[in-house]
Amino acid sequence: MKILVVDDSAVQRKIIIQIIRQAGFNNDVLEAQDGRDAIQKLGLNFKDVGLVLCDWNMPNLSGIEFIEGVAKVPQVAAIPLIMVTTEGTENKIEEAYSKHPRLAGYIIKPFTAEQLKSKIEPFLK
Amino acid sequence: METKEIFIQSLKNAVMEVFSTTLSLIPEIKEKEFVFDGEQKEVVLSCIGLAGGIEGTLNLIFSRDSACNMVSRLLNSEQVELNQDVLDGTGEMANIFAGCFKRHLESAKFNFELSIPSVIHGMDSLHIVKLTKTEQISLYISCHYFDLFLVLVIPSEVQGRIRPEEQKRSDQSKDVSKILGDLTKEK
Ligand SMILES: [Mg+2]
Repeated sequence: MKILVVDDSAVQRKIIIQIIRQAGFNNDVLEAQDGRDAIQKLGLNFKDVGLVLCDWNMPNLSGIEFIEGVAKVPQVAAIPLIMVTTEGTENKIEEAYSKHPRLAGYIIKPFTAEQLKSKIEPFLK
Repeated sequence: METKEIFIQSLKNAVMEVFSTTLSLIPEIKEKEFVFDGEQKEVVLSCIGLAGGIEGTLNLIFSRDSACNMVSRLLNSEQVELNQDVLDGTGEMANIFAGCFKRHLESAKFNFELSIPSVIHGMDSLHIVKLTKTEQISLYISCHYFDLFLVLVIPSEVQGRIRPEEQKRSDQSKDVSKILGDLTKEK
């Protein structure tokens, strides 16, 4: 099972992947740099992707636009998708759940390794 | 509390939260005007635009070594030059600071949107010019490994007159219409 990490920051993607590895998971990780890239990566690998971690603020196509689109496509809507974003106000969290009602979680940056690990672990076992 | 005080407190809270969570560090924070003293030649500025209830920019300014040391700490791997990771890391930190600041301001009913980061890298000197009708709130943040300035640039009126609940654009346009209506009324 593959994990798709969507974030416009290469450093943030590296940090997330480090935490995944430190937690003992050696799943293949696909990386996407914005929402458009994520469409391609998810579309071409949807049968293998078992978890998506998605940033909100990204150029070209934002995370919120991406997850809204994902939620409307039955083939990918059920893939566990966790937002990992600095957008942590109540109305933003509500907005995300309204665009993708099956959202599997919401992680607010800054996060600790432990916080990320505990949110993703259930989907990787 | 005055609006400016709310902003300063929210910025300080955000800095504490970001440092302790992502870097496991407790920084020292001082209100201090931004100066780049040129002791180190290279400078990196990462910037996030704010729009909506507050319009302005949130800027982080690092010397070359500080940028490298911060990203070394973020990635647990030593960065000795201003490579793409270091520059990217300063942008992502600005993004995280801005989001955290926004969350800390939520209870004060300030609501605004964040842009994607931009990162500027230059040499020798840097001034953040104080344009007309803007204010700068500047914090000097230091820890054992690096230091930086955080400069929030906002319209001067946000600090004084505008109450958070009055910030909606529609309200502003009503003000404009009202004032224009009054001014153009035939006597
Ligand atoms: Mg981002």
